[in-house]
Amino acid sequence: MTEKTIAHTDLDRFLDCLKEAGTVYVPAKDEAGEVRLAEASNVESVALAYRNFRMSPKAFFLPQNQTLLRFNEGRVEEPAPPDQGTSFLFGVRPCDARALLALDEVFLSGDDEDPYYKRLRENTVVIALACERPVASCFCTSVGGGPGDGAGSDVLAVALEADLLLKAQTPRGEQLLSSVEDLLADAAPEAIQQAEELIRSAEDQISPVRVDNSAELLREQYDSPIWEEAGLTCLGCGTCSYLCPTCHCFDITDEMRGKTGRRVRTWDCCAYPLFTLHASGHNPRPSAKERWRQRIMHKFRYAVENFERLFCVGCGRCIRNCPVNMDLRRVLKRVGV
Amino acid sequence: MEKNPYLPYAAHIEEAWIENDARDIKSFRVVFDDSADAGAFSHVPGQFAELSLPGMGEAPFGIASAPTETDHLLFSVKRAGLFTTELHSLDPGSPIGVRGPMGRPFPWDRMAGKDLVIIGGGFAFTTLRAAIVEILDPANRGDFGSLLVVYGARTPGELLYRPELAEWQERDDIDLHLTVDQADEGWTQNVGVVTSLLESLKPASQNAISIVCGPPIMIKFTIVSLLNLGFDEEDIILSLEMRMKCGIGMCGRCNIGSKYVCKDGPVFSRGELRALPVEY
Repeated sequence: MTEKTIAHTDLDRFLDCLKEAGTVYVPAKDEAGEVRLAEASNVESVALAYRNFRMSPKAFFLPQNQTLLRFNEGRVEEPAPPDQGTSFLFGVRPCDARALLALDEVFLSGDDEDPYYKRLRENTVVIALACERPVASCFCTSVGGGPGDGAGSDVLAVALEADLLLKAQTPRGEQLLSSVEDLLADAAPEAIQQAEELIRSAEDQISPVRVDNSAELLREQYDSPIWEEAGLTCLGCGTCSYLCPTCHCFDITDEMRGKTGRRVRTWDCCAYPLFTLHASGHNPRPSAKERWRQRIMHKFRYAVENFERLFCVGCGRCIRNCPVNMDLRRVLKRVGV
Repeated sequence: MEKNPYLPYAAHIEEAWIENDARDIKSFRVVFDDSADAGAFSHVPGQFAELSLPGMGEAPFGIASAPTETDHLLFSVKRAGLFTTELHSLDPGSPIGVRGPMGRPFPWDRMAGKDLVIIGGGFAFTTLRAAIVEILDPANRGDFGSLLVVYGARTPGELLYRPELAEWQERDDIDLHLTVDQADEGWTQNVGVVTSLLESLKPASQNAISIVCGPPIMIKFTIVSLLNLGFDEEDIILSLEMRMKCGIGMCGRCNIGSKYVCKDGPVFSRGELRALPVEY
């Protein structure tokens, strides 16, 4: 598939075409001036100059609360599938698109498929937007990704001066681009070169973190004193995993009102003491030490052992948003990774 | 369409009875409402299922019945938390959901042709009962060598399945030894811990496999005894418990290292466990 370009002035027409096919989400400023993904119909102008959203877009695929079953007068039923049709996410950053490949491993690759995740994943088209200005806490280039990485997206866009460069990443992305063919032109060599320079310049702004061999090195570090130290600092608030695009652990609880109710899946977090507490009172991860170790081991060792993939995309959210300045890069460095 | 793994089979409690003197363990005979579901639910001893009560949630329990008992599933449940307290309060006829079967069963391929040493403690005798019933079935008994079972509890009244244990002690195709920490009036069998009894019985480790289920302290010392008897670490089979939600390897809480107890276990060999962090 060759690269295409679309003029910035045609972006609204492009989005209008998508709106005919489904619900479109675009980056836009909210009332507080923060850029987040919002439904395009409610948005006056699309924002393109943003670093990344505070919340990762994982909620489009794994909602924070999701009904698994409905209970009705003793009957147990599957919820009716939402009739929203296709969703288009325009402007997802490459790290967050890449995180979908990790979620796919969990929810689609095993003996059982998760039907709720699968439906949302199949009905959501991801148009990633390459990063021009990474943040100091970004380290995507160290974990296999990059500011111009198209993995996990259907189309990768690069915002140039006069237009957007578009490159399909999947058959679904190719289909999308051919459906708006009238708005597109074949990319000129100058545009392709401009995009490459933009991405290279973004790459140069990122400070690398060594994570190669992390699985092997962490295998030797299960009893390292670093976990105790990290555990003393960690508040167990769960901000890191709620914002993390690859964190996917969930709880299942029942909510009843009279004889009707639902079984609901809710984001959960390995930093919480109740996460692993047995009914007997025994807890295999009794303190923040074990829980912090689990978080790092899961992302940088266990996931590699199970899926040959790091469950970290280097988005840096956990670093930027931790209320006590925990920095997993520092911890990784300490354990010798 | 593939079955939704979160949707339980509809079933009901056919019969429930108290198993122990402390009256905190109940057995439930569970029957599927639809016979097609009973056919679809095909388990192997060592596996578990999630029982589901709308409004109360779900919890995982080892399946105590053998596949040869085709008309029902048996669960023996200790009252411990919210879910099990609600379960204990239910009358026969009450609806209950069943998800599963889940997890890796006992290694039946490897057990074929071997002498079997089954060691249980307390109320962790549920999937062991399933295994024993399966082995004793006339169609299967010839597939295995000798069957030695050592089962201990704190008191005689805490042994599960007592009528069945008595029947088994009458048979000559199973060698069942019972022991209690504290005898009561009328107890004429062994007194003492499982390991002492095991060491006095001295089962041969050649061409033998041992399955051990019980409280952590019993497992710890039983492993030492079995190793002293010459059992290879791969021939000591254990079954773990862990807090679970989904039961299908997705919700992320029951892992020990990279292994999930719900789908990679709950059955592990001692050798496999040694390769994992001690976080259980």
